[in-house]
Amino acid sequence: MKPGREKRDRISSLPDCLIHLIMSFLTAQEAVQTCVLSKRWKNLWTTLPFLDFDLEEYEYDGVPERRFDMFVNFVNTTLLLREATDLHKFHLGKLYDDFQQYHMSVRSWIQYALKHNIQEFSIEFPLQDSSVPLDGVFNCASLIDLSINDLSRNVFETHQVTVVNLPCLKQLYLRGIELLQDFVDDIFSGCPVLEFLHLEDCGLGFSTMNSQRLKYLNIGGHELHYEPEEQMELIEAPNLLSFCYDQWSYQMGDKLHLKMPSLTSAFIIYDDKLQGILTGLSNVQNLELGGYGIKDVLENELPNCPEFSNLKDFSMESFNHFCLLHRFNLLASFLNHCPRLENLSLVYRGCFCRSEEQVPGNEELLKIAPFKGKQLKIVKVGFSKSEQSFPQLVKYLQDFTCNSSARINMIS
Amino acid sequence: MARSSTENMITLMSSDGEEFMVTEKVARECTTIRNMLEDDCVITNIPLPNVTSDILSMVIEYCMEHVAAAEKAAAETAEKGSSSAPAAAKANKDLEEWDKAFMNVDVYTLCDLILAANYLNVSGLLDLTIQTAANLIKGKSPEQIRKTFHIQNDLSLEEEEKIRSQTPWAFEKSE
Repeated sequence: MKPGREKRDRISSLPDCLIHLIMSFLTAQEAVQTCVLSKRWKNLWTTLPFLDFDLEEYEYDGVPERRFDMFVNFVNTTLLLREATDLHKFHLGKLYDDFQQYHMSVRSWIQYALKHNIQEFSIEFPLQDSSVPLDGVFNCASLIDLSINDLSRNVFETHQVTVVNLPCLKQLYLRGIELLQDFVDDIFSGCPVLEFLHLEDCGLGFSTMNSQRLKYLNIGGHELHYEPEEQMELIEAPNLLSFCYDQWSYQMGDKLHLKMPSLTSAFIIYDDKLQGILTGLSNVQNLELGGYGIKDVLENELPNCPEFSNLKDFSMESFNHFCLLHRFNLLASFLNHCPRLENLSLVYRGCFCRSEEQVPGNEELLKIAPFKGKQLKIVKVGFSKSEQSFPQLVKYLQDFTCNSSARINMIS
Repeated sequence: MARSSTENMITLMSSDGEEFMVTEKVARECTTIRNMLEDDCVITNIPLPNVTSDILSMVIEYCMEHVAAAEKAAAETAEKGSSSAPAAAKANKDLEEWDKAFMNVDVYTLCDLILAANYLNVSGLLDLTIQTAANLIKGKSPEQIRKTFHIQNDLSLEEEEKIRSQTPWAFEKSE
């Protein structure tokens, strides 16, 4: 190592593309500010293909309106003064409520991105009315990753989106958007290579979802008040690998039918209205269940449910409404549907079982067939220290799994 | 470290002529080398004219650590049937700590590592070094950034004033 070299400027001699890569981790303002470092840096930002504008990052003193003006001016001038090179990644973050008045500016920024070969676009904005040209965003040949987060509390109606044509789109994140049947159909026909779809707090107003290519589907949300036109009845996705469902709502139909033959992992928080999907999960290798409806689901659906013949990892998070001890018979009969189970994890998040019901006694336990699976290796039981029923639960589990060589680990 | 004798060894030669013997598995962490091996599987000696010996030894150290971590995780999975989540989380945390300690270098070496990681196409190392460099810039004033990276300000006072007056919107936050 040559002496003194660590005192020399090395970063300025990196090629532009690598300095740009470093700048991609900075906010747009931090990136532009490097223009005063030296002659080398003066124009580097003007060809930067990644711009991250976040209103919350933009500090201000005094009146909020002034802050908005400063921010709008900053975005406008940055886009105006940069070279006409590609803009691969464009993020407009945290444009909260009052920013709605600047919708014309937002419109022009989106138009700019769409004309510069945009690949990753994300926006957090109160959509409310149709003043933002989502039509353009849904019709873009270069987009790979699209994220639209409606910050208004209402569900954004998508009637204005008339064309969906995103031939390269792989990832789509939507929050607070209404999904009617036509729009859902348009998404899957207009995004032929879409693999990842995440719907958060969306208005699910469609009855069927059908996708040949989708691999990952997340549906979640807890803050929604939405009366759907149609009830969700069927999700058909032959290549889906992972399905997460955690949406509390009153919008579910009585039965949801799943056709996901390739599914390997599922995470389901049962809402009291969500029923009928246990059968559709019977091919998975990893399964996590939880939520209020779990007792009803197991009671109603288990008798007609096929074996979970691939299931290796099963975990269940339980609250007071499904006391593992009181419902031990039900848990045991579910486990008897899982002959190849290797890891079982039971986490109890309730306090005390206040249920009036009787804990199953020895006689009832004798009626349960002992667990037959030979591959069970680890049983983890997590509980709060104050829970007194746990020694008994562990005893039940020991008796139930006596034919396997499983170890029972307790985690408090 | 115990190794099976059948494992292919590859010699990497730095720009200053130093030779490094590594397993094929470690060498394959570099996508550039992996592609060479896939094009011509009998290669055993690879000259790397863009990387000096001190930097190459660091890149190899990084690759060996990450290969070892991946092997350890695979072995645990094989032993226990499947990896337990807490153990995997701990292993990840250990590797993160190792990465962090590995990044305790002067900025000159850091930039050399960025160039080497880019040339050899080691995506994990490129991400790590780029992120480290960005963290050294974040939240700093131009003067502090110059000091950190030993950037000579060759703009005259007038030129700097001119740039600032042309782009006042970029400096509104700090001023």
